[in-house]
Amino acid sequence: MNRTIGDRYRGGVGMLAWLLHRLSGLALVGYLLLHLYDLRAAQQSKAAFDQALAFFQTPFWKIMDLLLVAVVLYHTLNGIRLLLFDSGSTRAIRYQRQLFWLAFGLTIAIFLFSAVMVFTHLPSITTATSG
Amino acid sequence: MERVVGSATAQPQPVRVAPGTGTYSWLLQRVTAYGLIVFLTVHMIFNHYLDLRTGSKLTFELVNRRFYAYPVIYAVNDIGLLTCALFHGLNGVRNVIYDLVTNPVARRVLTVLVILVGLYFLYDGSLTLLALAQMQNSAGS
Repeated sequence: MNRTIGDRYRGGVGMLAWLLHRLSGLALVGYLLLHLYDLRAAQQSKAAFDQALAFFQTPFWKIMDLLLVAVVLYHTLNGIRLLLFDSGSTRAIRYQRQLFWLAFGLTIAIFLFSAVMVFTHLPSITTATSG
Repeated sequence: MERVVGSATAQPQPVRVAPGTGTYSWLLQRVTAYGLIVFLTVHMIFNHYLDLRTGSKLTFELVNRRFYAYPVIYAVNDIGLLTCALFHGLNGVRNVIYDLVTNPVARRVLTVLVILVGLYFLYDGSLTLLALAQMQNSAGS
C-alpha cells in the first residue's frame, strides 16, 4: 500500500477526466442546493413560487442553464465511463483514454444540439409567449 | 520497486475490501449513480423536452398541469431524484474533502454534518413537493 503514497499523478487524459469529474460534481452540488432553495418558495404561496421561478428566466440565466446542461452531460457520460470500470470490465479500463474522448465528444455534440434547440424552439428566451 | 499502479500494461486485479471501511458509501454512490441516470433522464424529458414543444414559460400553473398530467411519474421520479441527487452530491463532497483531510475526528464531524445537511434538504424538499401537490388540489377544485 505504501507504494501509492510516493506516486504522483503525471497528468494525462485519465487525470483530466478525474479533475473535470470533480469540478463538475462540485458545481452540480452547488446547483442542486440552490435549486432546492429556490423551489422552496412553493411552501409559501403560489405567487412567491412564480416570483422565485421568474428570477431565473432571464436570458442570462438561460445561458447559465445551457452551461448546466454541459456540466450535467459531462458528469453523466464520464460517470458511465466510471461505472464501466467498476463493473469489472477490464476492456473498459484498457480503453479508458478512448472512452474519455468518447464521453467528451458526446458532451460537446449533445450540448451543441441542446443549444440549437433552446435558441430555436424556446420562445421564452426572447418573448414570453404561452403555448 | 513495483510501480504498476496506473500503468497502461497493468492487468486489473480483483480486490476485496473489508465491509464498513467506506464500502457502503462507495456502493451507494454507484447505486445512486444508476438511479440518477434513470431519474434525471425522465426529469429532463418531462420537465424540459416537453416544454420545448409547448414553448411555455415556467410558472406555477405549468408545474401544476404537469402534476395533473402525470401524477405517478412525478411522485415516483421526484422523490427518487431528490433522494439520489442529495446522497450522490453530498457523498461526493464528502469524498472530495476526505481526499484533503485525514484527521479521523474531522472526518467524523464532516460525516455527521453531511448527514444532517442531507436529512434537512430531504425533509425540506419533500415539503416543497407536498406543497406543490396540495396547491394542485386546491387549484383544481
